[in-house]
Amino acid sequence: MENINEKIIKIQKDALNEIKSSKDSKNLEDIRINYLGKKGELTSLLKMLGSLTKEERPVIGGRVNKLREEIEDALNSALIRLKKAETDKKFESEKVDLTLMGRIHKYGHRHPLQAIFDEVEEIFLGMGFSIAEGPEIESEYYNFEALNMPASHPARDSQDTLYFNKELLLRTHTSPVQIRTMEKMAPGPVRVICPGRVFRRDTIDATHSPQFHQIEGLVVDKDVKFSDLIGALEVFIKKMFGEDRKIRLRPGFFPFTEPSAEVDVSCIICGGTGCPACKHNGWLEILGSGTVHPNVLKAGGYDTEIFTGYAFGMGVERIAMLKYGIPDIRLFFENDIRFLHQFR
Amino acid sequence: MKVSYEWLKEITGIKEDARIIADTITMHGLEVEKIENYGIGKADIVTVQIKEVKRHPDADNLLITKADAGRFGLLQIITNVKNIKEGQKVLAALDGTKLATGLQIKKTKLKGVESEGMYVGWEEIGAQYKSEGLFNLEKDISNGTNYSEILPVNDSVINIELTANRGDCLSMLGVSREIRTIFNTELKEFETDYKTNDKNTLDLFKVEIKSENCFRYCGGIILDVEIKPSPYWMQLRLIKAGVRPISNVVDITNYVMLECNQPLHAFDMDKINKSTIIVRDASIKEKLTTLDDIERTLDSDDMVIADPVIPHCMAGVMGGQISEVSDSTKNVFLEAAYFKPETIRKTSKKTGLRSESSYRFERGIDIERVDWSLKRALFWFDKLKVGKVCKGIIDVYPRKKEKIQINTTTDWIINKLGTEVKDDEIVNIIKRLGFEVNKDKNNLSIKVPSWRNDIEIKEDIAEEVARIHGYNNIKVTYFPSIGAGIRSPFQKFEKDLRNLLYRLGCDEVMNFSFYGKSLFNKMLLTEDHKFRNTINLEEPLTDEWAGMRNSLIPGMIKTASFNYTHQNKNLNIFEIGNVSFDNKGKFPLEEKKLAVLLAGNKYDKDHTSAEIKYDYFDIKGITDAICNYCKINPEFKSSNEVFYHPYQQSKIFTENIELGSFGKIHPGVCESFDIQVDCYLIELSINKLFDCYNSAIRYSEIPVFPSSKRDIAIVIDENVYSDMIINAINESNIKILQDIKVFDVFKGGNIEQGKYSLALSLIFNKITATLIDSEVDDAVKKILNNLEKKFNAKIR
Repeated sequence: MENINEKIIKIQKDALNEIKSSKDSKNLEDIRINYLGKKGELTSLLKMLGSLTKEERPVIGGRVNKLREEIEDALNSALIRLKKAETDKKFESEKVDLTLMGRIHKYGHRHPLQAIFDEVEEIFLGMGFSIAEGPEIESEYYNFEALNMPASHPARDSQDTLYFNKELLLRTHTSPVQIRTMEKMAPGPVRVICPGRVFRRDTIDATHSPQFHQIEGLVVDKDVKFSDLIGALEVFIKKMFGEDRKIRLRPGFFPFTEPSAEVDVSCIICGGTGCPACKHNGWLEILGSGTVHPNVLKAGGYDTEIFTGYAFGMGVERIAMLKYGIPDIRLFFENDIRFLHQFR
Repeated sequence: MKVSYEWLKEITGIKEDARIIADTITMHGLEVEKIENYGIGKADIVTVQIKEVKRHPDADNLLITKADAGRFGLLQIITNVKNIKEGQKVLAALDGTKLATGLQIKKTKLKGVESEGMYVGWEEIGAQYKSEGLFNLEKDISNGTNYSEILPVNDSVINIELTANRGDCLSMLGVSREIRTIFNTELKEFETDYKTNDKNTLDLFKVEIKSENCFRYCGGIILDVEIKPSPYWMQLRLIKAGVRPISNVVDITNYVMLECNQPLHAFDMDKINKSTIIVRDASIKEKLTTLDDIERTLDSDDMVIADPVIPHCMAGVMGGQISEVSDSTKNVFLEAAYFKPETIRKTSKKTGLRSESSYRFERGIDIERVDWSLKRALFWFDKLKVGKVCKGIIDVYPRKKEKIQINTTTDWIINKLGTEVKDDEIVNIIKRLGFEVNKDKNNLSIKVPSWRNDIEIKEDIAEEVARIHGYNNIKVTYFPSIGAGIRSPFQKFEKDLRNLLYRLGCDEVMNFSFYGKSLFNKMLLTEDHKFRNTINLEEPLTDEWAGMRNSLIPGMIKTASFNYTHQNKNLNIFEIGNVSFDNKGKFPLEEKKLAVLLAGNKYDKDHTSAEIKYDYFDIKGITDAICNYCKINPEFKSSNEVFYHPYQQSKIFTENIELGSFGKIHPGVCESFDIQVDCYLIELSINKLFDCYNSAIRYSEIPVFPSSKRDIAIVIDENVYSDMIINAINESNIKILQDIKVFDVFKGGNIEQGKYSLALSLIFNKITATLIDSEVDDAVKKILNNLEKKFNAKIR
């Protein structure tokens, strides 16, 4: 009995010491097998129970079982401790330079002019405008005649045109789409914008290009007023350039509108205090507009006693150049990807 | 139009300063481009009289002069002006003056002799005009008088950028009318009374109009003219308006043109045969030498001013050499006419001659004031004592123009503008602009003044009211939409494709719509290649831009080349744009196309990956992605485009419609464009894709039971393509077969020559139950049997 008790104490002391100094989980498993396994120390202790008295047996048995639990607990907590140490070590080995650039995931960049198209289109779609398109190769009739610009009209001077023959030309503005749309819709109402590419006989330089883009707008309905035009433009300009922008209208001249107005927006760069972009006068000329000339409505197939309308137009390159600070129109068509990558 | 503020003040009596005038008229329709400052302000530039002129002892080109400068004393001034004379009164800048040319006047020694100032001309005192020589001031100006007391050089010149419709404002009178309307000022009537001799113009000269394009012709005669410079005040006003002073006769014609908007022409009367002017259309190939010493060949749509023997002027555009006023001219015939704007415009455009006169005729002048303007000129001839003005004027006016009558109502105008303007204000504005108005209740009966050729309809009247009332005083209203704004299905499709390409990593480019021969040659295209079949411009800007593109491909390669030569060697770019085709005389056809180009590396080598080059399977992958997106089944057919690699190109069809092509760009083409990396390209027709694509989306059930995968490898003939195998498997119509994937292609090794091994994964699935092995085994067996039958495929 004394002998067994001593053994129990020794096993307890040895096992707990070994567990405490164990360095890895494999070694812990060896310890477990050594003490708790089928051929382990505790099993052999239990085997010795037979040699004890009936009274002694439950006492020693209890002790041995208690020791088993004690060793098991010690093993478990040692295991947790070791596992944590091992994962810590693994994590540490997986340390990376977090500042290294990530693997490149390429995304496509929108052309800056397309970005302007999309922005303007979204605003007008929201205002109930649909989108109308027309051909880039146009007839004299749609490009000039129907727009109240007969052959002798002095306004044709400023639009030096690229011709294919007497009748066919490259449209010099998106306005012919107005006529084509009216022809399709008359006598119903029209509410469209017409984005597109236009052409002029211009030698290419920093501010001129033989091809550029416009967005035109047209509303035809019963009793449309000049003041409605101003309302629509004010909404557009605030959405496009910011709610605190102001607009200013100046009398202008376009053969296809009467009355006509040039529309200025308070400078989008300086807000109106004056900067090089607005030539220090606080305003940027951004749109041409007016109520549709009756001759144009007539050409579109409308009764001018009942129908009136308004129209406006803007240059896409100009807006992009102002908005992004692009100094040279040629950049749009050179397509240097270092340029394109600056937009989205 | 350059408007002198000082001159404007004289006519209108306006008090506001030039800046306020400029800002205000800009907002009312005359856009001011800038204000030029004239003069040099306060400066010691004074009248002096030359008392003595001596040679400089040490410099041949210098003179030593003594000049009496009144209260500034007797000055010694050294000059290089040759023709300076004793007794002459000139302007001299004194010590401390800074001239407009930037020169600072200082007492200084020139070659050892002291000089106390400098004699000055127009340019030095800040008039923008370069001239030789000095002033020759009138004798009664006392010595020492400051330059600003003699001439209003210090002035602001308001530069107005006129719109094409406002030809009437190409004159002081026109601008003054606007000022009167906008600022409620007065408007001084120009004097036209003058003294005459007892000869009558009508007895001395005859005018006949034989051309339909001359609507009115007036003439006056001045005898015994003395040609000399015009007074400095007149020269200065011409200079401010940008017109060169020449001589009194010519200056008066220009001055009256600037005053009244009436171009005038002075003839040396004695050079006109038979004292008769004939206005007629030119005969074909008629010759005429104009003032600029160029012999012009005319045509029947030009108009000339002739005598019975020879032509003298291109009417309204430029005078002729023979009857030009010269120093020896004794008698002058003065023309004031109205020529049809279209005729002048045509001649001016054809000859490239743009004169102050043609510019005004083109825009239409005031036909009712032709005679009045002539009288104004004759007034100046008399007033400046240039010669003896004859009694009466010739006035041939075959086609009197009726004043345009416009009837409208104040209500209509108010409704058109959408804002409240009081009836009184409307009438007042129209009246102040010079219209005659009769108002009966709200009915307006308006007569348009003869100088406003731009006003024809009631909308024009509405604009006049609006611009004077002020555009920015109009209260904003809204005309909201009752419908929704949407993109058409095609526009939506285009936008979707664009977005798909962004997601595929493609950067968007925009190329030029034109191209030409040089690009085709660089692409090594055959002479009859379809790209060359462009619709060509009549007068292209350059050969490079001769015609309209019918494909996006040349532009894409050009852009690739631009980038490659600018150090951007890796590209993944796309364009969506219009191309056009000739339609055999009918209206050309336009089509929207899409192109993608890949070049160089997909990934450069870095710490995450080795270098990966773009290859054929990248462009094919983009093709597949577009087809999948559109839910179309592409068929790939052989193609033999010269600009593609002969074995890496294909046409894409669906349902027998050719959608486009793709492939590797021929290395020879790349080399020709200085591109030293492999490039791949696809071009598709968006219109055709749109016709074939399926926009409907229907959910199909996702299987819940596990699927079963079997890999097979077969050995087949080299000319049996993978898609033939896949199509054949699909045709076996095995319901449980869900997907087929190629996972290996292998040639060589122990595989017979002329054959290759194709390894496929077959994925089986059943929606309703778990698959049984035997079902799958049977299916694989069936597939293999089929492939063996069709292609002699052997299991490897």
